[in-house]
This record gives sequence, C-alpha cells and structure tokens, in this order.
Amino acid sequence: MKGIFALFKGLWITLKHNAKNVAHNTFTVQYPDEKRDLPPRARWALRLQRHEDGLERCIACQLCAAICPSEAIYIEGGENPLDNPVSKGERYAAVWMWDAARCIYCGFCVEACPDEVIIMSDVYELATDSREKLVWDKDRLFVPPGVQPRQAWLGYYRRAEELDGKPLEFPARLHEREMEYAREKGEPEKFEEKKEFMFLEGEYEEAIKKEHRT
Amino acid sequence: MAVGTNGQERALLWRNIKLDPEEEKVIRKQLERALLLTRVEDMIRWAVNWGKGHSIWPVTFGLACCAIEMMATAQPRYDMARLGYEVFRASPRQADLMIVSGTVTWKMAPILRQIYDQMAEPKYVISMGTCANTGGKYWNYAVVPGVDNIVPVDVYVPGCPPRPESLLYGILQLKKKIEREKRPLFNF
Repeated sequence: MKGIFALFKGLWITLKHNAKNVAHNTFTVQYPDEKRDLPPRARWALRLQRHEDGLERCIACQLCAAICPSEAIYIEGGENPLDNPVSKGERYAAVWMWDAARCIYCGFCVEACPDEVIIMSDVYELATDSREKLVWDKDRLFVPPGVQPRQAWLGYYRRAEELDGKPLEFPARLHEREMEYAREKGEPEKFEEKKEFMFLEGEYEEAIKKEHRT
Repeated sequence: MAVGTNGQERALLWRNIKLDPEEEKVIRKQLERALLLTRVEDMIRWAVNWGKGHSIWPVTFGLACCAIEMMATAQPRYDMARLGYEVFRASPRQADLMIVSGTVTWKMAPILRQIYDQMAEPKYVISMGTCANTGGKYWNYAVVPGVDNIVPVDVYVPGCPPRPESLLYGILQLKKKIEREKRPLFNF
C-alpha cells in the first residue's frame, strides 16, 4: 500500500513539472530546423572588422595576443606599404591567426582592442573533424567589405546603450528599481548612502538627463 | 599530338574498339553482374551506415564543466534522443561513442584509454570543449595537450563550454562522417 502511494507521488511530481512547462510554453528545441535566439551579449567566433572604405582596422599592436589567457591569437606585424595601404596605421597585420580550439571565448581580446577591430559574432557551429581546420587565418577572420555581422559583441564598456539596434536597459532605470525596492523595504536612507558608490561622479546626473531627453 | 591524350579523343577511341560478338557478350555479362553486385553492396552499406549513424549510444564519461552541457544536451530541452543518441550507457561495452567532455589530466589518461579500448567496434570519439581539444587554459605539466594524443578523435567541438547546440552540430557532423565511411561490411 505504501509502495502504491509512493508511485503516485512520483507520477504527480512529473505531471506537475509537465504542467509547468506547458504553461510556460517551453518545449524541445528542434535544433537543426529551429534555432534559439542567442542573448545579445553571446560571445562566439571572432571576427575582424574593416573600415568603411575596405581598409583593415587592425594595426598589429598585439594587445589582444598579449592579454589572451590561453594564447589562442598569433599576430605578425608588417610595414604598411605607402602606395598600396592595407590598414590606416604605420603597420598592418601580415599574419592574423586564431585557434578556435584553443580559445576560451572570454572576450578579453575585444576589451583590449583599442579600435573595435575584434568583435565576437554569434557563430557557434564550429565543429570539424580536424584541428587544422579550426585555426582560422586572415581570409576567414576578416569580414568582407560592406558586410555587417548580424549580431556582435563589442565589449562591456563600448556602446553600452545599444546592441544589435536594440536599446539595452539603462543604468538609471536599474537605479530606480533599486530605489523602489528600498522604499518597499522601508529603508530609503540606506539606498541614498549606497548611491554614490553605485555610479561614478556625475554619471547618475548624466543618465537622468539622457533619459529625460529621449 | 599523341592520340588519346585529350578526353574527347580517348572517348572516341573507346567507342571505336571492335570486339568479337561472343567476347563482347561475355564481357557485357560480367560487367552487368559486377555493376549489379556493387550496387547491392552500396545499398547495403548505405543502409548499414544509416542505421549506424542514427543509433549511436554514448558512454557516460563526464570530466569537467563541459559535462554539465553534455547533460543539458541529453535533457528534454535539447533532447539528444531525437537524433538517435538514445541514452548514456554506463558500460563501455554497450556504447559506440565517447564524448570526452572536459580537462584530461595525465593521471586520467590511461583510464580514458582503457575505456576506449573496452568499447566495441565501431567506436567513435567526440572531443568536446577547449580543454579536451588542446588543453586550453589549463594546459600545464599535468594536463594532456589535446585528447587526440591518447585516442583517435573523429569530431572536435570548440567552445568553453560549447552550447548544447554546438554539441548537437558536432553530433550531426559525426553522423555525416559515418554516412561517408567505407568499412568492410563483414568481418570473418
């Protein structure tokens, strides 16, 4: 008798979860046919950008190769020829190699890059049958002229207000939410104390101004 | 210019060959039989490969954080069983595929190799994640620089860790590879 009761208890738990999933409209993702939208800050395969006139943005400063924790980037710089320039600086990247098998997709290279050369696209289908194919060279990394990657991550501190054309949640709004929460809890003084640590000097006023403008 | 170097000329030459009618009959018969046999063999091979590619059962072998994504792939949200990767077997004797998911240390390497050796042919290996591919961030004296030093790898799935979709894409690549392969059909 006890066993039968336990059986129905287990079934009830499964049924509860099933009902919850149906209510939340979560079903199996039929992967090869249907693909989920990635979050706006998804970090996958590297891409290198060009200027609008087709010149390469990279000037071979090697900051990305220096900061890379797993040594996935290899760059060889070259003197930029004056009559037929490749980049806009004095130097250009003669060799730019990225090992997809070695990369840990942390995005430090994107942060370190001084000129928005490196972006991280949403291409996550990288599986191949050899390690040689996973080393991407310049031809594969540079975006063809005139092509805009569909979704790209540019670092936490660049273009924080919009990404992929969609405006992100602004800090001031988060601030207001915190304030509401503090009011609900009945501790607005505590919030006022913390406010100066939450924003840099003048940032909060600017954010409020900007929000009123838009 | 020598006759027969050009493709068209060679074709003409073949067409102009004249055989005895009896000899031609014998050759034609042999050729038809050979064609028929190869077709049947190809069909059987196609069927075998199709079945093989759609019914691969992986062995339970999670090593690190990639194993969490591997488990997530097996869960109903992504559901590996849709693609025929039905269930994770706890015994290597019942498994066809090993998903090496995570950092492989030199201490773990002989165990991994033993499990691979215990698996029955045909067996496949997917190297999942940066650590298994190349050692990645954790590469030092204690970590194997790529699991292909120990076992032959069929598909590499990069990512740290890969999304479940990435792993599913790797699985589809493996399926394509199996459909292309030409093993002997019978081992006597």
